[in-house]
Amino acid sequence: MSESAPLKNPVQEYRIFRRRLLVAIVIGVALVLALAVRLLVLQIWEHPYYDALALGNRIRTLPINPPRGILYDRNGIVLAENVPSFELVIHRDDIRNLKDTLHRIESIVPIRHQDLRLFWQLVRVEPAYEPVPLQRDLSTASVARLAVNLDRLPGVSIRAHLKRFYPLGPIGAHLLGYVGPIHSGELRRNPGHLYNAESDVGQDGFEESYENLLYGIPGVREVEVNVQGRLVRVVRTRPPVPGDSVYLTIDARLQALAHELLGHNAGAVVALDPHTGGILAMASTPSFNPNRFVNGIGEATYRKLADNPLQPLFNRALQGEYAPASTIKPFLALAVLNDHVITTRTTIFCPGTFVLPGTTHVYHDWQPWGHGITDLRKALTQSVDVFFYHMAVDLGIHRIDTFLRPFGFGQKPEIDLAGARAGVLPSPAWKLKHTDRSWYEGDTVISGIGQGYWLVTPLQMAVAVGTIAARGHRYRPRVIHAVMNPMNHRIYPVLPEPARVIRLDRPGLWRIVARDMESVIKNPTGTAHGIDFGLKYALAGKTGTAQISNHDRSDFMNYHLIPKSKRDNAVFIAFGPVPHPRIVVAVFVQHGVAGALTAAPIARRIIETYLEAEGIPPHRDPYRSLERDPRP
Amino acid sequence: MNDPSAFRQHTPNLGPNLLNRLHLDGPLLLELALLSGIGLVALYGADHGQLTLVLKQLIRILLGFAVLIAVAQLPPVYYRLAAPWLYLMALILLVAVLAFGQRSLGAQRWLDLGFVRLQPTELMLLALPLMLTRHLSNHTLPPDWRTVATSFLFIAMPLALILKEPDLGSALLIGVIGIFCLFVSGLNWRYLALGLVILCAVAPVAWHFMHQYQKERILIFLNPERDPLGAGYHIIQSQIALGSGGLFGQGLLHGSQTQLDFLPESTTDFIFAVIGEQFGFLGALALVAIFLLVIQRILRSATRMSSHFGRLWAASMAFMTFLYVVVNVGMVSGLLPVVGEPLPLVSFGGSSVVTLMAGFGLVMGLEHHQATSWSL
Repeated sequence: MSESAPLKNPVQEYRIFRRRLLVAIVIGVALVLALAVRLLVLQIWEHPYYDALALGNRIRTLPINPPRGILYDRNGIVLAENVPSFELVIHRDDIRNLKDTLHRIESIVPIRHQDLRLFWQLVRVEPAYEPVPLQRDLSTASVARLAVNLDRLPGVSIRAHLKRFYPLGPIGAHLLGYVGPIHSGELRRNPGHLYNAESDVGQDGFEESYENLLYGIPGVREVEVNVQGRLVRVVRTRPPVPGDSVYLTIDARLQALAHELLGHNAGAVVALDPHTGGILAMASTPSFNPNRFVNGIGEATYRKLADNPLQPLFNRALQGEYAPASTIKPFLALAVLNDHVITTRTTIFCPGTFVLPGTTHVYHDWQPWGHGITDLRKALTQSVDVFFYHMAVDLGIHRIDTFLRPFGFGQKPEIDLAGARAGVLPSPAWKLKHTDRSWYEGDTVISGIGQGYWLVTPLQMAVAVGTIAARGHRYRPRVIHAVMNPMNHRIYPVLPEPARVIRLDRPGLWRIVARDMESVIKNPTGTAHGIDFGLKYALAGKTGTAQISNHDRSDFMNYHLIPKSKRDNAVFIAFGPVPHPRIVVAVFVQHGVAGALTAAPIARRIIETYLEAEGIPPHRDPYRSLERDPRP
Repeated sequence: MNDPSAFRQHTPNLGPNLLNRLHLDGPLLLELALLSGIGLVALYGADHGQLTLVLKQLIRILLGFAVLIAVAQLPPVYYRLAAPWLYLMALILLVAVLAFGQRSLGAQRWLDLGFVRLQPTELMLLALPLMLTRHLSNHTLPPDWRTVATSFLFIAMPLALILKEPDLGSALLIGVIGIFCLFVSGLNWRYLALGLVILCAVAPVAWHFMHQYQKERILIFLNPERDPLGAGYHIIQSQIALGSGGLFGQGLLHGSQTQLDFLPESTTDFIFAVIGEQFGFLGALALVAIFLLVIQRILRSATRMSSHFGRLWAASMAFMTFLYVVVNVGMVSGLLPVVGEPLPLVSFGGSSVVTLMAGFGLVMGLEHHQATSWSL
């Protein structure tokens, strides 16, 4: 013991220790109580909250996309179906050396350069546990070769899914439309939460218009996942409800025929059943292959299609607006007969020109030397322009407007496809609104031969002609025929929808105009007599040739010198068999020179093919006598 | 040295009892074995019902008990004599770790001696209280200012070295234990108040010198939602695990947070969350209660010891156990920041088991050697 250090006092030391320990224990007990309260709050009070969080941690809801409804034509030919497609998928967190694995895959199947580039892009943005597709649409040979080697390629798998396939390719592509990967904008709207990032959605045509019917209801798979997002087990599965299959009113054979007959021409064909409004064929050329859109079309391929001057993506049947030219004449004939402007016996002398009283402007007939004395039948048969100049002036533009509007001119057809255009039914009101100029009498004159401001779409024309064929009954044009429930395979037909009934003073007028149109083909002087040879059915028709540039039309010997883009549009409307028509056809051929030349043969082939297929007996022996009365 | 005629003479029963002969305390051993057992079960649950980690941990626990028994055999006077040398050695090792240590997770804490990976911080956790205990019991109590000053020097040296590693959690642990030793020895309240004032003044400066990850941990603790997938992830997931356990828990090997690996570090620092998820509030509380029993038993020994050396040692071991539990449970339940301290004897890992067992062994030895000639 050193001097400086005082003596130790054990009693006092023990007392100090006890006192201080007591303080420490009090603080310690307080801390333990705080911990206990904390645990109480977490585990009892907030238990439901944390329980829900734990559930959310482990349960993921994955959608199962429903198989899309199949599209059939009216006879059950498949127009659009779902075929299995295989893609090569890479699970990166199972792979130690990604580059090495890719090399080994490449030694088994070739990988396209652009696929490889897309793969590396996805690798950079996707989380590591997310499988990344390396190659879509594997061929069956590639699938077979890969399947054999799969056990030597850990982290590589083949994933199957359903892909939309259009067996007819470009035939009817505009009508059917196509499906494609959903856009981010559509996904954000996401009606009814039916869609997810892997959904395909109808992008055009029928696929777009009937999206709700065709899509179905997605199923749900609830899976338990671990922290890496790996599937541990499936908790619950609700299978998807497939979309409804649909029978279209389309006849695939007619559709293919129309496509083939239009050939390299730009143009459109619309064929429909006048008593139901069902579209039998709706072709627009040039067309495109919808299968290229299914997996998402490449930018370059799309540019090529969009920049093509012939506009293959443009549906001419619905959206192409053309001057109807002389095909408007049967409707004017109905108007003048119904309003008692003339009778069937009234004649007018056609000198080849027409001058409005009080003016000097000369309106020419298509035949420079004129047609002489002309009654209504001759005027339609030979398409006498001067006759209809007179008729238009005598009717006046207001009566033309009010009589023709019920046929559907100037209004959007109520077809069950999106994008149909309205065309133009000329009227002073329309002209004032769109050109800011008042109506001239001269406008009325050229309206009489379907020129001037007139514009119709092929569909509109077919519907209007169908109204003549069905004697005033106009039906809503449509492409849906019947819906098949995929679960019970029951078929629910879609009934025709009458749109309007046009009542004339004398119902006989329908027959008169139909007969006059029949003579356009049957009469040796008829403008479409060229298609009469060998014709088995009594058809009614009307040619139209729409000028699109000013050239001397009488100099037809040198017509081939005119560049194609300046040649006249050819139009032909027809229905048959008279007197009980089953089919109506409107054919528009851009730069087709003349209705009788290019459009009429197409219409004849389509009508004949359809009637034969429908088992309609021929009305006459076409090779025996051209003079015999076609009707019994 | 000191007068063996202590204030209260406690004479242990030196009968034929094996435990007594081995200088061991039966109830405390039982409680420690119970804790270890619970730890092994929790480890089994945290490791998806696999036995590999359980067996490894079992070996470490057996090693810990062996160390405990061994330490208890040597007369405590030797520890008292060895204290400065032990302290010096720990200090040298801390310097060595900074110079040649293994880097893991951004901090130098390990010293690879070829056959064993040594964590000198753990050694210091024993050496510093031992040194302080000797130093304080060598002088009269309450300590005068010179004793306090030298004690602070003993605390400050390892503290600075450990902060340099950097290991904020262990540094705080060592600092708090050192101050606790002074406190129970009767440190003047005025010194305490002064220290608190200095601490408040130094805190902003310390914040400035802290590593980014340490600052981040404190900020995340204040608001875990700051970075729910990054640094806040541990806290959020462990709270979900505890909270989803409820009153009775989801049962052994059940509970999605642990079984589906949402809970990070589930076998080591966050094993308390596993217990909370699988055995519920009652299970968690029971575990804390067993720890409190251990502490109670050690404090009971403390009050029965005749020398201040023994009392102080036992009290600091009880305090160390308490500190580990509070820091770990507070961290797992989101009351304290994530400092990465294990739950002793329960978490997977060997260092803290051996450290604590050695400390407990000395407590037992101190109590049972009192009546012998080797007493202090």
